[in-house]
Amino acid sequence: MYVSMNWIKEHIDIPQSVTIEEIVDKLTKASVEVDGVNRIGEWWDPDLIQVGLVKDIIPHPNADRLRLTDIELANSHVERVVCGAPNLEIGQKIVFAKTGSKVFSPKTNEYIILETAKIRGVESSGMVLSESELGISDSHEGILVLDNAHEVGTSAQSILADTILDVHIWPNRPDLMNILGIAREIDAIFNSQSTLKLPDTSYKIIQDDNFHFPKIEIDDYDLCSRYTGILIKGVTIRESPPWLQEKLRSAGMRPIYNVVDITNYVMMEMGQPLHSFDYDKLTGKINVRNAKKGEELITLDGETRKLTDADLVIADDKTVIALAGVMGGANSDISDLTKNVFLEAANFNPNNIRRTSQKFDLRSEASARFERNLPPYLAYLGIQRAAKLIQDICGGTVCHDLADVNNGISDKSSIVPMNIATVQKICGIEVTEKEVLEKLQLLGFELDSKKGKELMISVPLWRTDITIIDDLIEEFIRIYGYDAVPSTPINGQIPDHSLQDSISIKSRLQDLFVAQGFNEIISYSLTTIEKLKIILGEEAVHKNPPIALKNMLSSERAVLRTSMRHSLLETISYNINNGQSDIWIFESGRIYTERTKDVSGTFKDSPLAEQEYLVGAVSAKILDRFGLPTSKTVDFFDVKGSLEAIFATLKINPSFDASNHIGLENPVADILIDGNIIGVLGIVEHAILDQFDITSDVILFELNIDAIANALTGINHFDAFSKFPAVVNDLAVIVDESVSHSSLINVIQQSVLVHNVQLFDIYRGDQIDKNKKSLAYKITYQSLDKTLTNEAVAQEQNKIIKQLNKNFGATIRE
Amino acid sequence: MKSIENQIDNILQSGQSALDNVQDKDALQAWRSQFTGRSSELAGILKNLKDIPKTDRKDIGQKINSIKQELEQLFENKSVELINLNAPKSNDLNIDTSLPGTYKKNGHLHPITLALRETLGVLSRLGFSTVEGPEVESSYYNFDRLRIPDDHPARDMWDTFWLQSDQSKDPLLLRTHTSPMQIRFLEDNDPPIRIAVPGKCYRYEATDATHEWMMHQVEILAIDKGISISNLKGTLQSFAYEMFGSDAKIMLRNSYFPFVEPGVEMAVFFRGQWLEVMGAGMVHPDIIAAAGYDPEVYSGFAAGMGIERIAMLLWDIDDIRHFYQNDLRFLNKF
Repeated sequence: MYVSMNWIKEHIDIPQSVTIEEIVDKLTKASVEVDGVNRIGEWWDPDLIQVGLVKDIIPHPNADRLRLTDIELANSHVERVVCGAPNLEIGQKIVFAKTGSKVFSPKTNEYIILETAKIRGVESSGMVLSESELGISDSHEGILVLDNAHEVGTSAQSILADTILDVHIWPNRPDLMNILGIAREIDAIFNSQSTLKLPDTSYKIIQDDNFHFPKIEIDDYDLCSRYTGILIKGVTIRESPPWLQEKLRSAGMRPIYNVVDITNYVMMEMGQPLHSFDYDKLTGKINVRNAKKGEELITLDGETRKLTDADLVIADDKTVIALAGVMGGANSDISDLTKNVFLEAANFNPNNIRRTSQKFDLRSEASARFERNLPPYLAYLGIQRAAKLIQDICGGTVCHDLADVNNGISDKSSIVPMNIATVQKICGIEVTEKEVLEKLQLLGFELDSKKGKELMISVPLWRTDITIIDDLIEEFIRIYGYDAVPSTPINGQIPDHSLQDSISIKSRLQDLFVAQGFNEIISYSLTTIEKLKIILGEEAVHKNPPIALKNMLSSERAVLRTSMRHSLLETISYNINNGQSDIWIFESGRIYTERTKDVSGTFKDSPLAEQEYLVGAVSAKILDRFGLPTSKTVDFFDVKGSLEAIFATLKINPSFDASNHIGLENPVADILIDGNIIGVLGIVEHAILDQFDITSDVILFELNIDAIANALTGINHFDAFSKFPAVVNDLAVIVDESVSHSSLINVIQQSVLVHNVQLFDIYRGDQIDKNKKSLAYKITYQSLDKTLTNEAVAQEQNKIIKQLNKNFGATIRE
Repeated sequence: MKSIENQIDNILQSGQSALDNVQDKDALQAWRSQFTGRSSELAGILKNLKDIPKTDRKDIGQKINSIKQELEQLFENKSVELINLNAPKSNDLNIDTSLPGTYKKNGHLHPITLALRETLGVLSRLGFSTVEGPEVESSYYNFDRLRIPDDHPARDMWDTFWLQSDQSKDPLLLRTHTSPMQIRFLEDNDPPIRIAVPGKCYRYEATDATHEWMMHQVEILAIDKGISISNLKGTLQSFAYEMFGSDAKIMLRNSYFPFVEPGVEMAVFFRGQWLEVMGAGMVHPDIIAAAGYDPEVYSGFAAGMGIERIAMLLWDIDDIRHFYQNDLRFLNKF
């Protein structure tokens, strides 16, 4: 909301010494956030930019759309300039800028210095200014017309300069959505003890029974707790006086014509939205009711609104005439022919107004206020203020008593109990009852009575947001000042929370992957179903469809990911396109699927199964001792080596069992611990890489963080190492290609004397049969309780050889 | 007996001196079979071990083994040395120590992870334990239980991604803040409570240099007997000193969030200006009461901060869109 400081100063006295910076600072600390400050007139030259009088207007000899105008300035000096503004009239007071003035150019969007120029053959020195050229608003449709009371030659700065604050009002403070409300806050913050000057509401009634006052009926007082109406006859619809237009513009509103401007003015001044109907377009009574199914209304913005019984409307005997609290109807609108006005100020149910305005996507200044819960007394006050202004400005006569229909509203302050001990406890400060009451009184709160230790605080009528002691504490502390509250640590018992294992293992894994040369990425959780189909296959996506968004920002972000593979491939593709070639990446994040029997998810009672994964991919060459790429591409076993190094640090020893996965091609391995799959490692299918414009090999892995967390046992006890010497023997065996290293090693390790087995050579070639391979192991024999004799070792190795031969047909390679 | 031990020691000595003359791989292999191979002197002694008196056999056997291991180690060391044939000898004064070390790969944590860890580390030292919650939430936890009913204009403070789900009564959404975890944690835990909740949050809003639809937050919740605004300020001040430096003063300003009362915004004085860092406030008594505790006895504070913003402040990052682009040229800088 835009707040004119000139307007504020009409209602309160701000000490001269207080600067605008102080006001902004203190408002932001104690009340509303000030998002911006616009100092209007600050840069105007007081000598060159001044009030002028339009003396004469004659046609431009060479242009239809331009005119020549004589402007009278100080000392009866007259300047003839070219002007294109359609609203220029003889007798107007306007703002004139002489040659040499700095003005804003809306065309080029920058400040310029005015020079004498020939415009279509006529010399022109100076300019009649629009609001935008003065930097008041962005309107440059016509020149700014001033109040006629201003003297010719007066500096424009002295009459128009203003400071406009752009303030952000919290949703719980409808009382601040107007000038009086902000004035009250500033008054309280600066403790200036000035009496708020309230607007004049003293209209006169000249009873005229020739005008039938419509009967007002409210169907449901829950939806409309108060409806006030007033009838004003004989108004003249025309432009508002300049002072009123100026005020509306300062609030960022566009003046239309007097009656409508006045309703807007009262809303900006006091906060009560009003609506004006053309009395002669109404038939019979005014009924506040729910719309009937099938009813329609063309609202003032020209849209046809299909109504339902959830929408509260204002209707006459014939038809719906307004969408209550949101927007008026075109059928009863004020026009320049309007003679008699029926004015409405009401109080509507905030929730209902919000539902309707949301449904129609129609957020008006009125609905923004009603949905924040306005106090009913304001309608009664606002309508009188508007009647007074219409009577003064539009020449109308109030010809009936004002109607105030409600269900017995008391307009009495509510009482909230407060005890000082609680205030002290919550604030953490020693503060006296007197101090607390003083601060609250600055904001309009009063001590109503005392009941024991409870102070009964009466809440000002405009504060519909104050219901409990904590609300009062906020009111006190924000005026007292947060700066005056000391900073103290919590001094309670240390809580005893059991923590999620997955959090610490996740950061452990991140560190280990970084140590292995991987870069961490974080990618979006939303993707497209098409991408998931590419990486997981149609069938898998059909079986476990991703959860889709109802409202999306872009079709690229339509569903929650059920895999993270596409993000890895997109990142690789993006970086290759940017000239990178050494790409080792990983991400830890979640995938989101329906909760099913098979998938439980990490979080208790979470709506979906969210599983934490650490996934990674590599597209790189092996680097030489200088870090330069060699010709060898990083392969399955290079990445497996990284994983094994990480697992070794974590003291887990998973197996990598050959497997098949959609989207991955050989070699592919499931990673298992105790028979449970904790992840997968494989080569991404080239057909998939094509879709991501990747031509190099990509090795990819996925690890389930929870599964790893569950498998971790940690080092619970220290196994003593042997004090006796070890004997190392080599053993090379020839086996069929189909026999795996891990199956051989499993047999070797079954021997209790074997302390360690290390593969050191793999041979295929002339010296052995085709389809056979030779694997050479260094076997370390060691006992915990004795020195092994050579005989014992030889005997044990023979046993192993026999077992290998029996299980796999292995023979010894001499 | 002594003579055998001496013999073994001599083998080691002559092996060591012979190694100095080895200049290439073949010579090294020859050296290896000469000193440790089947027909080596050492193997000969081992073969004749049975001739040695039983009492000494064990000691001699152990000695042979250890010398053999030592020779193998010499072999390994020499192999490594020979790999770089032109490597200057260690007594050469012309070694260029400015040459790069042997390249080792190294990766980088994402700046958001770094900022999260720093944040959670500081909070952990202040006694806040890290817990995580679901990113897909129901309207009930994300809004209703936090006193943000559907019909209230406060809802407009959180633009929401809604999910297609069967639950029309309690529709699913991507959480707009980490605050629902306040409620979830209170359901399962008794005060005293001190938690920090990190995690991804989502806002239905267009992306520009300062707005992202996906972001990370850390929520703080402390509930105990007698927790005050002064404690909130103290905790946030300690946090600011550790995160932003020992001259990082803080300021609390009036603000509004439906689940706290009073509500504040915390700004920190950093690099010469006041910067908004988080929203905070005293936990609304309705929330404490709804969790089954007496708000007359228990009070608490909550705060929530955007990690992207903190990372941008700490490292002077000008555009939030860098974070999820995953450009290695960006990531490698952290």
